[in-house]
Order: sequence, then C-alpha cells, then structure tokens
Amino acid sequence: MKILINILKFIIMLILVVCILFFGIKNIVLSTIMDKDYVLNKLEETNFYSGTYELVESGFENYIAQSGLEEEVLNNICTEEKVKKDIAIILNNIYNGTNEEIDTTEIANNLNANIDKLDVRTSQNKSALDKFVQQICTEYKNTIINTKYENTIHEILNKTTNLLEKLQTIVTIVTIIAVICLILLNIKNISKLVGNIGTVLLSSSITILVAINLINANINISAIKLFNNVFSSSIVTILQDILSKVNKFGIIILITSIVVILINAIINFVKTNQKEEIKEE
Amino acid sequence: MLNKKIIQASKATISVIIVALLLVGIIYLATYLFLGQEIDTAVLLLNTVAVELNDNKEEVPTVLNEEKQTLENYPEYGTQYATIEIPRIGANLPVYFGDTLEILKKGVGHSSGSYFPGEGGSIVYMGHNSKKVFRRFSELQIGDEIKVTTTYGEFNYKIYDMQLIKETELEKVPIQREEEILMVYTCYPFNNIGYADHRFVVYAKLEQ
Repeated sequence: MKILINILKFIIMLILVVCILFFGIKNIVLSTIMDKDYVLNKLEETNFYSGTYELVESGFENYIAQSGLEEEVLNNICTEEKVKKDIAIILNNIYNGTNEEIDTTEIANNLNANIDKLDVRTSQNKSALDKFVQQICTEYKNTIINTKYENTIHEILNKTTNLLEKLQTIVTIVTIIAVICLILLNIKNISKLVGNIGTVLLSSSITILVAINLINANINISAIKLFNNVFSSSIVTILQDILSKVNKFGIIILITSIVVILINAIINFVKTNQKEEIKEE
Repeated sequence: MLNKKIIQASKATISVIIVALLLVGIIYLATYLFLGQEIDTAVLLLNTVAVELNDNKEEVPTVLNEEKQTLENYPEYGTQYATIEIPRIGANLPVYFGDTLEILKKGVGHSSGSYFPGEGGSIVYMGHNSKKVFRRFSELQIGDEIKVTTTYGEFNYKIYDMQLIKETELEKVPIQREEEILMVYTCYPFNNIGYADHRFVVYAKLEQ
C-alpha cells in the first residue's frame, strides 16, 4: 500500500512539474514573440528601422551601374518614415491578420520624376526604364521582407494562441486536482507535503536550467543569420531575451525550491526533536 | 542527540533532491522519446542559419592541385582572388568570388556555380556595362587576349567567339568540365538606359 501511494505521489509530482513548465513557458511566449508591442519595442531597441532604411538605399544603389543612369535618380525616392510605416503594415498583417499590401507607388513616382529630370526617356528605352522602376520597387519589398507568407504566419500565431489558451484551462484544472491529491495523500504528514512541493519546484528549475544550457551548447544563437544583417540582429536579440527570461524563471523557481527544501529540513529537525522529547518522557 | 536530528533533516533533504533528479531524468527521457526527432531537426535548422563569421580566422592560401585540377582552400565568398586584364579595351579589374549586386558594384563577379581558372572547366565572369567595367566590350575582337592573374597563378585566354543572348538563355553559358573556357558577360546594349534584358558574352579558351 505504501509503495502504491509513493508511486501515485511520484506521478502527481511529475504532472505538477509539467504544469509548472507549461505555465512558465506559455507566459513567456505570449508576452514576447506573440506580443506585437514587445516585437515593436525590440525593433526600436535594435535600430531595425534605420538599419533597414540604410539597406534599402544600398540595395537601390546596386541597380544603378547596370541601369546606365546617374546615381542622382535615387535621391529622395524613399524615406525612413515610409520604411517604418510599411514595416508596421507587415507587422499588422502578421499579428492582426490585416491584408494590407505594401504600396510602392510613391517610390515609383519619385523615381520616375527623377528619371524625367535627366531627360533620357525615349520611346525605345521606355519599357526598359519601366522594368528598372519595377526592379527597384521589388528590391524595396524584398529588403523590408514583405513576403506572401504574412497571413500564413498570422494563422499559425492565431492557432498557437488559441491552443495555448485551451491548454491553459486544462492544465489549470489538472494542477488544482493534482495539488488536492497531493494534500490528501500527505494529510497526516505536513513535512512530506512540503518535501513533495520542494521536489516539484526543484525538478522544474533543474529541467529549465539544463534545457537553457543545452540550447546554448548546441545552438550558436548570436550567429544566426536570416534575410539580412539588420533582421538577424533583431531576431538574435529577441531569442536571447526569451532565453534570458526563461533562465530567470528557472532561477526564481530554484531559489523558491531551496527555501521550501530548507523549511522541510527544519520541520524534520523539529519533528525529530519532538519525538526524542516524547521518548525521553 | 543533535547528530540524529541533523541526520534526519539531511535524509529528508537528500531524498527530495534524489526524487527531483529522477523526475528530471524521466522528463528528459520522455521528451527525447516523443520529440527527439523534431528537436534534432529544429537544432539542425537553427545551426544551418547560424553562420559564424571568420573575421579573425587566419587566411589560408588557395593552391591549385595541378594533378587533380582542383583548388585547395577555395577563396571565401565575396573576396577578391584575381584580376582580369583585357588589353584591347584597357580593362584591369578586380575579380571577386560571387555574383551578387553588392559584389558587382566593386568589380567583376565570379559565378559561384562555375569552375575556377586552372580547374579545366567553364569559368563564368560578369561585370556591369558601366564605364568603369565593361562599357567598351563592343571593341573586342576574335583573337584578343584576356589575362587572369589569380592568387595561385596566371592564366591566359584567347577570345574565340562572341554572342548576344537573352538573360534567360542560360544554356548559352553552359557549365562543363571537358575544356577550360572563360565566359565573360555584361549587359547589352552597352549604353543601355533602364533594365537590360540581353547579355553580351565573350568566350575565350585557355592558351597552353
């Protein structure tokens, strides 16, 4: 009977560890990568807008040599404000499910006006110039990472959020039941209940801290390169921040578990003392 | 008496730690059994995009293994490894490994899918039709010389053909390894305004 109760306790503790891990990670995920405001803050922090604007300008310059046009045609065809506005549109498409297109008419109009100032447009080169303008607009969309996958990403984010919310309800109920069961199984022995809580907290913290160390040992996050240097830098900052938040969560539980384990030791110390006193009497 | 109390308290603490470690072991074992493959794929994927920059790496010289006709220690992508000299049009330009627009802004690009000089195959070079690069390509004639000086040797080629192709006609710049052929192309028309969809290709054979 005692073995059976111990096995039952072990299973309940295992369930509780999984529940703690779920709550911690779910909250971190929802408050970081799934939160538009968090992402906007990080983009601002990593100078994403000005970096992207510089990339846009240098991307345009790459087309000048093959176009046979002077570099002046690129003057003021795009602004940092436009880049910022368009990135906001992309983020809205991803996080709010809007379906807004990036409008490059302004860039095309400015570029055409600059070309006209050079007075080089003829009936022979008209289509070549139109294609050049089109290339510049495509280059702009590519640099600000305007892809056709924005709505797909939104659907994935939406599904994940809904799944996490549903899971949270289930996990909350499971946690309450598990805690009640653990209390009932240790109703006659408070020190064992405290010990079990300490065990749950300690294993949760070890699991998190080991996972963080494994991630750091196997993946060189700071070297991640996606699309371009500016985007990579923002992604690396976000990933490192998430890992540091998970790490902090692990440390907090570790400290709590140490406190609970110490309380457990004190209770055991006092209990032994009481037993000895009764024996002596 | 005090020892007994300490032993009892320690026992309780150690048992908590042992059970906790056992739980961690079970969690990791279960994760490995149920999600091991997915985790491995995710790690592999992330490591594929985790590119370590070799800024502090010691430079290893590129060497041509003449027997095998292959290079040892290929040049790093984006770096200059040669110069191209075309006396007829007075061109003496740096050649970079790679063909991005960023590279072409600096000089002549070497298509990363083609062979290197000395490897006995197709070498594809490209450059803009700007004044600084290949604007004077129209002056070239059959029999003209092209000299490529790499970090591992000097190679002389003689032009034997010139063709005007569409940008999509990739079969006109074939990659093969039967004969060393240098193909250098630029956008056409040479004084084009706007986007050029034709390429002027110069074919040159290695002179023994």
